[in-house]
Amino acid sequence: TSQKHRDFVAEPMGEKPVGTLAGIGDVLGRKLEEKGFDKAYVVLGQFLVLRKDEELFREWLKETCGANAKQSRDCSGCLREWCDAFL
Amino acid sequence: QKATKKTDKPRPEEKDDLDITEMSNEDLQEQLMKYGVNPGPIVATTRKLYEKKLLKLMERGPDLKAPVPLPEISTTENTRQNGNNDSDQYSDNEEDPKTELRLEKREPLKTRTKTPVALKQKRVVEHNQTYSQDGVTETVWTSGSSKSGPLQAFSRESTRVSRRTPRKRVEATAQLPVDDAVISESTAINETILAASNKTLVGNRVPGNFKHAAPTLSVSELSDMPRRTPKKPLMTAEVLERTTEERRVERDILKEMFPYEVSTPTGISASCRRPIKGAASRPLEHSDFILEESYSKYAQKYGTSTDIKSEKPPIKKERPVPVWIKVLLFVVVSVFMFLVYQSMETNQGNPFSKYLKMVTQGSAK
Repeated sequence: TSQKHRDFVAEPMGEKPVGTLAGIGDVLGRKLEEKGFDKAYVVLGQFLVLRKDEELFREWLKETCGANAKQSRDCSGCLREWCDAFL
Repeated sequence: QKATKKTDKPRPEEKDDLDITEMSNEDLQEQLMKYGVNPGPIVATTRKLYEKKLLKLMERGPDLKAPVPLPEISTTENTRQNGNNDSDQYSDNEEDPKTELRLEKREPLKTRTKTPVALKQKRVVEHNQTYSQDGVTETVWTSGSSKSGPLQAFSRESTRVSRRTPRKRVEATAQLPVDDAVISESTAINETILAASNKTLVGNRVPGNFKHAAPTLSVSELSDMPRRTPKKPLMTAEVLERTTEERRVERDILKEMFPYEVSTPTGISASCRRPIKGAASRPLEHSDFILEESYSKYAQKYGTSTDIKSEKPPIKKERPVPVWIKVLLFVVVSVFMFLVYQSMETNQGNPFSKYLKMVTQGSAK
């Protein structure tokens, strides 16, 4: 797990921007923000609406911002662990 | 059995709705459930995904209608890329329910194994925090008030003892997390919240003891100054009471639970929940509970900065410095600058004309 992942999963996300999610860098973050997913919790919302289905979420992420396999895997794993810890 | 290839036309038979995109959300959901998929709410953002999923399922095998696990999607993609879609020849159908079950089993197991670990880690963290906290307070007390030190300790002990009965409830709830047989994470968290809130609430309901402890605490407050700046004596009293109480309670539990505890301050797993409410300026959720909990927890865990933070939660909800203050400052400064500019003299000519005159006069001479 990357440092970004660990940082995100260590505490409630609050109002953290979407760029703090593991796997989401500047470019992807901007694309997500353009689509309206400006905060990490909005992306979390999408993850939850998909019933925490990582596969579906990864697909959605790929469609929405063009994340590659590794990026989407990092992001979904990060969100899943966060949910395990705090949800 | 005919091997179906991607180039083949998708079998029209058994396609309940010819056009998936025209299906209503409910129909889409029904279709997905027929394939054993339990879809989440089909809303604007999820609809497209589920349509695609249904399409894949239908193309895979309208005959099957068997539970298809999620990783299947990736494998089907791979096989389709290879141009080989012998779904019938694969023995995946039989394995499907197994893999699904395995997936499902793994999830609760994961959470279960994580709970005691998370609990332990959480408790360890809390213990460490409280230990370090109270260790400092104790040393400060003894160092700050040498003469009345032992007396203070005794009086604090007595107050603690006297308050023991009303706090029995707290101890009971605090001991509940000890039974870590199979406690779900949520309940554990709720209980710690409850325990914390109970402690704080009980602390509020017993003001008499605070008065008794106030004179003893006043000295400790002064000695605590360098470490943290308590703005409200009552708050710190509440906090100190809670920390000492918690420390004693948790010490007993600790001995029971972790005989081989490794007290690492950073032994935090990713799933450990540090109760840093409001560190990222989270909006308050449980209204009262969180407010009081935030007071106590802030003072316990952090130094001065979060004390100040907890002092003004309504104002500092989202940002450390509110925007409107910045704007106001900007306006004030700009007005001031404008006034200064206006009050300046308007020199029409060359500001150096005086000096030029001097020079010309000098040269003329």
